[in-house]
Amino acid sequence: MKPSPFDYAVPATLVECLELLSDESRDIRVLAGGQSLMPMLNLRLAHPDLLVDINRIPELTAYSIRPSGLAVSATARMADLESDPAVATASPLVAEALTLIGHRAIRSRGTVCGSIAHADPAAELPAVAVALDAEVVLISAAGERRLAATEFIQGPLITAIAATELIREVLFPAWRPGSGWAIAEFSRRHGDFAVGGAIAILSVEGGVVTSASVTAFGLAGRAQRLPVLESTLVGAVASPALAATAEQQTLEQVEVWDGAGASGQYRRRLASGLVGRALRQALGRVA
Amino acid sequence: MSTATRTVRLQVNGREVVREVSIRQSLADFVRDDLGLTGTRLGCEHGVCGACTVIADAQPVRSCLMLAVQADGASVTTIEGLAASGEIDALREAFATNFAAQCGFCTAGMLVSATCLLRTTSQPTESAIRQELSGNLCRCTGYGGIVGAVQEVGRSNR
Repeated sequence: MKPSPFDYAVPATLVECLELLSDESRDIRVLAGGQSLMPMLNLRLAHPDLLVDINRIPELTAYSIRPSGLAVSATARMADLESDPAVATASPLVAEALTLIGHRAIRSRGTVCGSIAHADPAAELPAVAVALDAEVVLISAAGERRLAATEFIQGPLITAIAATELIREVLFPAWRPGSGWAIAEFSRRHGDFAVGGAIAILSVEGGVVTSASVTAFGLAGRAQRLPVLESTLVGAVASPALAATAEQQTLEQVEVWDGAGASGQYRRRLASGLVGRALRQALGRVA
Repeated sequence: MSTATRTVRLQVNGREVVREVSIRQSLADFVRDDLGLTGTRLGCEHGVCGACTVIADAQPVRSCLMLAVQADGASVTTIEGLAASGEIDALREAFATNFAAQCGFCTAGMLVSATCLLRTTSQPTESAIRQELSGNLCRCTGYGGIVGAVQEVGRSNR
């Protein structure tokens, strides 16, 4: 299938780009990596009037490791972060999540910010952003605003972004040294969209859990933290026995879709198993 | 809108190419229709099957998901380029002896992806090969011959 007709603009500067986006009379889509948008165009699930290609704006291409964390600009490519050992050190969860995304060719062009802007419920990076309480920086001709990932991602392919806005960058907070972490996902074939996934991040001091982040994704409309489970884990003695507790609580607490390829009961059990697995791995990684 | 065109200038298989392209034309359609390089296939046109894989600026990419206009200034290598340079001679031989092609539709994409893997990883394991080629779908062979062929070529790389 071929896309329906569209106009195309390729601004050379961010200012020019934001001016194009400020025209609210047209249906405008931002083209970054195109690995989610081009399929939609080719399948005619989207038919924008204007495609604004942001790949030629130099200030949007970079990522940097700062004291505050890993800052990834709009068109930084997944493959570039994946192959950089400094990223693996600065944010091992981001680095590992990248390897789970699609296939090598997808990651050559795909962008970290694009994946978050697309907000597929089964995607790894939006889940990582939720797990880490990442910050999404939005920019428009009217200025900049910042949202927590959990505020930004609202539902399946639904975010808080306005038609006039662009994700300028996503900031993944600085990694706590010694944290235990893991991402576990299940897909039918390597590179397929996850049927379900879990992310666990733990800090442990003196054998006691001092902070916990547990996220389930691919199971409902968006990645979800499990706050009741998290508060059970905090203050608990860090031992593999926690995984069984986590599995039971996940069964009770996780929100799941029923239907479209898997029953709610299946998803609930899958979530439970994956949270247990992620927690065991995370505990094993605590330094 | 659909009649709008732009001029692109890029390298394809080592040669400079300057053409006027329709803005909604994919890179895949451009190499096939405008340049006659039909080795690159179109399967799903939404990035899943891998039949359209080419190399752009040293990276494997889905040419069905790139607009031709986006390739302005890029260096693109298609299966024809890899064949002409001789880079895939060993792979082609191994594909033949391992019965890695039946209908041949996935083959170009498989060879491009395998080439990218072998450029970065010498002697890849079976598991690494299966992972790297998971983005290239084959309906005929059951993948065994393909994986075996890539492994064989990897082993012969010292």
